Amino acid sequence: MRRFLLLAALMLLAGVVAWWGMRATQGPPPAPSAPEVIAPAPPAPRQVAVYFAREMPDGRFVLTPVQRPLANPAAPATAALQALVDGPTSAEERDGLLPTLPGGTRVLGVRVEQSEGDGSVAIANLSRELAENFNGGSGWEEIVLYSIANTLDALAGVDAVRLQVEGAPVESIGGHMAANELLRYNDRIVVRGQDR
Amino acid sequence: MGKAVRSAFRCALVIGFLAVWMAPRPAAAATPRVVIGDRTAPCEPPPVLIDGEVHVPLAFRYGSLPIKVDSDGEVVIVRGPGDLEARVPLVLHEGHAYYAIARASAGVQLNARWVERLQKVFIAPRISSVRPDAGDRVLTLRVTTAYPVTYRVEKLADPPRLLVEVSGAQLYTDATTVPVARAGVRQVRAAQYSFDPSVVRIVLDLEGAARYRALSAETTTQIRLRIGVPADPSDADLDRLLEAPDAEAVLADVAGVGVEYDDQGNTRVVVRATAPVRGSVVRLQSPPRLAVDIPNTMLRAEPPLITPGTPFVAGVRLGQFQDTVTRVVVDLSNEVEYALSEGADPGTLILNLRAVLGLVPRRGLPGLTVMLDPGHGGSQPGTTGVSGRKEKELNLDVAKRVYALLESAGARPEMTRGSDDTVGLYARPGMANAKGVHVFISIHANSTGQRVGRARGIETYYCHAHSLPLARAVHRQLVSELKAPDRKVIRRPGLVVTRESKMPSILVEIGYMNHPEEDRLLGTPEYRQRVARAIFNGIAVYCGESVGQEDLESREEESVPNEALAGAGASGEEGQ
Repeated sequence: MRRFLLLAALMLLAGVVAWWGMRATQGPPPAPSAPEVIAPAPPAPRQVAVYFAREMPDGRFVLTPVQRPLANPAAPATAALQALVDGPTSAEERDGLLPTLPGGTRVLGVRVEQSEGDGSVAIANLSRELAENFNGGSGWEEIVLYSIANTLDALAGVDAVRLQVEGAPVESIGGHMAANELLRYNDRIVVRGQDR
Repeated sequence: MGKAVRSAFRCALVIGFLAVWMAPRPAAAATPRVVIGDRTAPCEPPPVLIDGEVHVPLAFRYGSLPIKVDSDGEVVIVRGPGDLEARVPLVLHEGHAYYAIARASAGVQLNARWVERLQKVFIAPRISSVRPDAGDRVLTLRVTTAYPVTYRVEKLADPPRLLVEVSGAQLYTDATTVPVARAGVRQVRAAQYSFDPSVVRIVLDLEGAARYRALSAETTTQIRLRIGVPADPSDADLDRLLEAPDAEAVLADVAGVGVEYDDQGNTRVVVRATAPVRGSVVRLQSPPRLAVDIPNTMLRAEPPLITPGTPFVAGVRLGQFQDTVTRVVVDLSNEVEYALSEGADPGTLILNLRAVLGLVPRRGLPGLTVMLDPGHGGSQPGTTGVSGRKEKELNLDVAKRVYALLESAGARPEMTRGSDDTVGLYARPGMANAKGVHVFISIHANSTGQRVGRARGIETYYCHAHSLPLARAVHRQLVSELKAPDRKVIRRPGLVVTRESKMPSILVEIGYMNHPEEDRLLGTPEYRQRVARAIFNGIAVYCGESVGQEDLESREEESVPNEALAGAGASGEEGQ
């Protein structure tokens, strides 16, 4: 009789073990309504960095970031781009900073899209004056292009920037640099205030 | 008493079965996951079943295997180790691009196994063969994969078995049994382990407790074990057979592969092995690539990461090409000359890559094809000078002057535009590539964007390292001829014309049009002729000698007049 009891207990144990085993390999079934991963909302930024040009003693141009308070934390990309259009303050200009965008350039819109393989792409739509009033060489074109790209790429939640003029991609804004490709943060031409 | 026990037993039986039956089944809505090797890999969006096949998003990568989409956007191409390539259709599904992972994997010696019970797809190196070779006393077991795998061996008793457990691997089939009945081994069974589908278990059923010797390292592309069953506790005979020298032993492991380049236009693929090795190179096309085969080696290196902009090299793939031949495939982004040599350190092989023109110095200008590219044009005026002059007119004027000088020297110049035409930015290098010219020179004038600026002088840009000698040669001539400030030779990867040209290509900025003095100079025909002559001299210096730096410098110091240079190519220097 004791052998039967033992056998019965063993069967029960086996059943429970099997049940736990299956549970362990399968994991708990996901609740149908709740999403699997809830990404925490990033803290709203209070400032944005805006990249203006500066001429170095050796004559080359670089980009230098300056901070701007963010009035509307819900739309940092638009605010940052608008600050770029507005240009440096007169104090900053006395310190050697130069505006980068050609005169008359307006922000038509900025939106951030999720792109396959490229992450979050900020699509910056600027007015035709960006290309029409551009009056520089290839070096200055790089500065103009990356003042936009770096300003947006530096924002949390932006991985790359795509440029549009009047709502459409353009081959180039000045005839030297490719403007129809994804632009990523260019550290090579950045000199921060304290680096000088 | 008996009845009570029996009913308790029945009760337990029922509960036991119920427990098994009630075990939760995978919810229909569970998110499928991907396991690479033995680890869950991120895959966003998650894999989907399309027509019964598991598809993963295009962004999904197995390790560092390169994936690209063909130009029509219809076929996903996955490159594998050695020289393997898989092509599967790109499938659009709910706004995302996917491809069938099992089919893509099979083409590159991986295996993808969908385990519905777990809602997981397991991707791992494919074990392509499990081969027991039995002698009278000793059996040699060979397990082969295309990528290194890790294994362990364990003796099991009751009944006597030897377990070879390969983790992070996928067997070519679900399960297989090979009868042996020699050397004390009854049979060899291999199966994907059902409790952990990332593991392959190979079990040898034995006549008695085994002795074995592992001939391969713990991580390898070919597991080799010698196994025997002793006839008595002290079977010295068997020990001698197990310990006999390994005739198949490879000489070396390929332990590391790196890519280096300098600013002289040289790129080196360096293969480091644990002992001196030899290799041979085969050039292969579509896509253009070089395959270096290194016999008597086993692979344990990981492929190097190639930084964008590495000259000539688009990627490097490694694989066990044959049982003991490692193959290093170098995907090329440009036409190259190559040479394989042994490095100073024992066990190093160096594949040197250089631009075709860079390696075969041309002698002089006759026959040299030059694409001259006057910047901007037509509806795109470029910058505007202090004087109101348009850059497009200046560029065209200088290009025409260079054209005339080249033509009179016997070179064969071409122009991307010969008048005030609008030419697309990509069309310019496109013309040079289509014609296969030797060099490409884009002529521009500079501006800092303000109406009047302080900056003045010469800047020369290039993108690919093979263009640097040309950039230096022309830049030095411009700076010395014009006595203009030297604003340096600069690598600027985003410039379309130099990036997209396959031959050595540069963009020269001949002066600042928003600098009043330089703009005034550029307005005079005499100064523009000097600019043209300097560009011409630079091309002559570049192609007149080998591109070694000393040669360039000594040649520049001679300051050879153009006429003499032009003649030299045709006669005197030809035989040097």
